[in-house]
Amino acid sequence: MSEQSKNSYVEQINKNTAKPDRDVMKVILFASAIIILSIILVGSFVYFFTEKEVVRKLKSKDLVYIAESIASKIDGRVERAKETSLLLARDPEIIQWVTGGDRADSPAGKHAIERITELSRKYDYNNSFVVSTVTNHYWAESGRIIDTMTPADPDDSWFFEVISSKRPVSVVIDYNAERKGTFVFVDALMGNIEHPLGVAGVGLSLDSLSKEFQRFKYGEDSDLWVIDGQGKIYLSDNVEQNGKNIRDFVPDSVKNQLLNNFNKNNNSAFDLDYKNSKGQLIDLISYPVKSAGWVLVLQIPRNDTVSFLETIKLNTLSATLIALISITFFFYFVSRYLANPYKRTLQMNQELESKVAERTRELHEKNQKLIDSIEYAVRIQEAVLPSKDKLSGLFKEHFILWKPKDLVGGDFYWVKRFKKDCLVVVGDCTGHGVPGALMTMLSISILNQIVDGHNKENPALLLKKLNNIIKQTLGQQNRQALTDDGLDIGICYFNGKNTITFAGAKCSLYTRKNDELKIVKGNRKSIGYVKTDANYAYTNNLIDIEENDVLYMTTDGYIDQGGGSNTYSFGKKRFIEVINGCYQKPLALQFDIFIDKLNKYMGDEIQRDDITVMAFKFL
Amino acid sequence: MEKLIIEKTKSSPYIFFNPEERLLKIYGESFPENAAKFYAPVLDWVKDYLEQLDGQEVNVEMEIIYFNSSTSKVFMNFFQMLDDAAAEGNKITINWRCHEENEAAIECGEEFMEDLENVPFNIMVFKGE
Repeated sequence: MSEQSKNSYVEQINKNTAKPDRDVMKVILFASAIIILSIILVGSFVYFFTEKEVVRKLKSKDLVYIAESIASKIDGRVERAKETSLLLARDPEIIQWVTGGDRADSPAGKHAIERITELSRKYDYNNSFVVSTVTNHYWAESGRIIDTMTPADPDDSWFFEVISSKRPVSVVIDYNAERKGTFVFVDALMGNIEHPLGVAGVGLSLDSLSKEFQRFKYGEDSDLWVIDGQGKIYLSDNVEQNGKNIRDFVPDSVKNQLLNNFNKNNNSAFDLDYKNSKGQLIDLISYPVKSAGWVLVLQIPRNDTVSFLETIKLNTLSATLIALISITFFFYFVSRYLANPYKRTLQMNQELESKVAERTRELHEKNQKLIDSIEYAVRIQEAVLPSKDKLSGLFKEHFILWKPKDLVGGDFYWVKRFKKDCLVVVGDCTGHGVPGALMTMLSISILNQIVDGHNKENPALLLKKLNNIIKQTLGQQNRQALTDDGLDIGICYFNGKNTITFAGAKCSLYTRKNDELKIVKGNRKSIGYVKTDANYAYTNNLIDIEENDVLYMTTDGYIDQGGGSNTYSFGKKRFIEVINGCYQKPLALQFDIFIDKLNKYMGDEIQRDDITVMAFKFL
Repeated sequence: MEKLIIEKTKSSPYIFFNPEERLLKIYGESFPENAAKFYAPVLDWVKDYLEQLDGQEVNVEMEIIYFNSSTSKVFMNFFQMLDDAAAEGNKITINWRCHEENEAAIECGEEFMEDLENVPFNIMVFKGE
């Protein structure tokens, strides 16, 4: 492997390892995104539900509770005034005194005046009074008559209205613009309701309540009002607002809703929320003040009531952030600790890969050396085999198909020319490849050594000698020999006229005459091999030849080559068919046919053995 | 004795020698680079197996599509060992199976048969698949 290709190989490994790293990052990012999303969602849900719950509690509990307590205070105050008025109206001595013409100097008069004055003096009433229908005198808290009621005086109209109302107790509210205060007068009828003797009662200012209102103030921007069915403000935590109408402070739609509810059903709390002109969300709650037929209205910006929600929001946010940061750190460390062994594995893999690459390179080098060496051996083997020119000079026509399984092989052919006569040999040494090639060198060298002018006409003798020398050379005289090698071989001697002498060791000669094909079988004993006797006598066969007779010699490679559908061998039968099919053609053409038939039969099968086919004509 | 089983490869046959069934099977093709080396353990096993035989019947079944010349030498040795064992009175039979179209295998079988004296060598030619 060249340096460059090695580098690119390593680069490729790096690329392969970088990719899974990116995948890990993707998974981590995806997981982080999901966790961040869930934390944010959880945070939002927690805040959302907390806020919802807080507002629900605010509306249904807290604000109602505030409104209820304030209303009950007012109720209590008015109820107490009612009781006081009734006590005054039902005092027998005062009744007696009024019946008697309310004379100040009578003993009853003293007691009555004392009772009237002590209410405002000793208790927290601004006014206390008794008005008689007998004399129409208005006895005030000062213990004097300050007015005499006449139906003509509009200021006195309240008196005649109360008298004719037939209600034991009436509560009349009077807003005094000059004193910027609301006064509540509780009027109780004296005596028979149908024909009242007079009206006794107390008056009280709600200013003190107004101070208490400020105690209930929930936030800076809240408003607390007591209004009547028309929306008139009798009482406010802000003294300035007393006497005004709530439409000055709330949108008309809100006012209408409020008053509609008030006029329809004033027995329970009612709440709504709206956005004011500044865009603030305002919660408004009304609660009836039953004793006086009023309604208490409390309105407060949502921000003020749930301002602690801001803290919760902040806390949730910081908790979310802390969770996020912790998880980020956690993930960072986990991914590092998880990814590390993974990275190490990748690194190890990379190291191994480069080791493999190194080994492959070494192997490749070694293999190259071997191939170089064998390629050189090819040159030697080819040099030992007869040259084309030598063959052409020998035969009238010939072809030689020599196709080792590997670069070099165990098949060989050999010729020797004398005068007009010559020897032609085809041999197949055991094995193929380098060991086969070594055997061919040995065989050829022995042939060169043993063939001389005396024995050339006797191929059988040549085989016998060859056998003997091979066995000696390889030390195969006995059965315990180290090797058991040898060769199959056929030797033709052409006498230069018209006769062939053939002897074969497991090798046949095919002679194709014009009218028939003859197979001249050699002996069945190979040359060499432990099993062949050192003095085995081979047989000569004499064959007459005529013009255009073609002689074929082959090693088993061609006939044994596997192929077809069952990988069976090509076979002798097919070989004969090939000969019969083309023997009349020029041998150069026959060469192509032999190759073509073989290739077609073997298809993709590997070559099993070295292949040699030699065909020649002498005449 | 232990069974001897060698899985087939592209260039060597499937070998299944089972002493219990007294059956020696060789199926496939045989042209290993070094046939002597490949078959050395096989022949060793056979040698041990034949030595402990005591007149029992043994069947040898072979269906070899193709074998090279060095395998042929090994087979010759193998058959010679069987022949010797048969001469000692063991009832060994060799069934050489080959497809009718595989004439090379048939011919080789015939050649092997000629060389054997004591062991029955049956060439069983079959047709079809």
